[in-house]
Amino acid sequence: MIETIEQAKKALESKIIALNSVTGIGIVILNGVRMIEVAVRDEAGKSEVKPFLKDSLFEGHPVDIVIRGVAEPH
Amino acid sequence: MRNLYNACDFMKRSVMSDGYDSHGFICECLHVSGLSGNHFESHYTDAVIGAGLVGNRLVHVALDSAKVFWQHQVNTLASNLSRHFGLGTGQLRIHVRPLAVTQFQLQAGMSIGHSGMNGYGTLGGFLINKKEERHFIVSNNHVLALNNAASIGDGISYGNRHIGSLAGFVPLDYSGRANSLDLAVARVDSDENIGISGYRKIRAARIGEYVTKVGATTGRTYGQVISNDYTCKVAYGSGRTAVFTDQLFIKGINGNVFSQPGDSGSFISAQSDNAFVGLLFAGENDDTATFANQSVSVFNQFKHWGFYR
Repeated sequence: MIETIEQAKKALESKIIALNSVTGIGIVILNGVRMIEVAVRDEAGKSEVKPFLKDSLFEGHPVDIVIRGVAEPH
Repeated sequence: MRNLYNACDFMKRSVMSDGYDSHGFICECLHVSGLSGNHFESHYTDAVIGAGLVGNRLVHVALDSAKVFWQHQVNTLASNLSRHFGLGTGQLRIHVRPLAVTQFQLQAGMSIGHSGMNGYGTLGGFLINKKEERHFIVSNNHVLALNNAASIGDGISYGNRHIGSLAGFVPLDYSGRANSLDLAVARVDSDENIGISGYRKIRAARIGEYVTKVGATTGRTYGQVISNDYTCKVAYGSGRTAVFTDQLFIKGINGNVFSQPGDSGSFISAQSDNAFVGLLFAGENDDTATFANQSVSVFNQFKHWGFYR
């Protein structure tokens, strides 16, 4: 049973390897709200990830999906 | 007193190369050697290489020794300057010396890289091995060790200048297992001049805190830590992707860019206490996000390499 935002993030973390469309996951603070951010490659990736987020386990954990490509060395 | 300032300003304009009156005046004075013609006039136009007031009582003028060959040229210039500005005895001193040469100094924020690299990264900072009394440069694996392709001892350069040799790196793992560091260190050549402004404490970054860095591409920028346990994929070319966990995710303040390619290797410092909190290594290709290794992981690797006991 996932009860904390940390557990939710860890559960999602495996998706970064399993799903090609997921490029980043982290616990962030946006506008003062502590939440999980999931970065995906494109809109198609968004629809690929959403089923996982609909899982009732993640209810109560605000999730923000942003579209972001794979990072590059700077 | 006013004449002193006028004389100083007149000579300064000559140094700044926009004082045509000054140039003409100086050329005229330096022509007393008997040499004449346009060739020599153009040769003398940048003869003045320094000017300043000393103690508000004396005008110092420096002439380039490569442009002035005879003492009577200097004497004539001094005489004409004094007359022109009404300077009293002892209010003007003219020196003839070589043009100053800048002293090369390695500093954090400079562009560096493996000698075989196309492009550059950033010199993040220095480590000091007190036992050997040697300095080490800290930057990324992909800057100093070519994404694992380099060998220990390979040359590290600043432009065309060789500055040191690769001393160690943490191999990047492209298998899908988690990486925590894109880190490498290089031993600085013993004859290089090192510019160290101070020593930093090392601590973990806090979500929400404001940070700054100096990078070779974007210089000093300011950002905010959005996450301190971010997991991200980074593309290292040739189809290789590495997953990094527990990374810092930083955004520029007010929509400004925090980093761009070439800034890799920069030390990220907390604005509150200047502590070293992260090692910049990656970012989104639209420059809206920057990723950095946790300073604590970097520090643990330094300990592993034997820099701390």
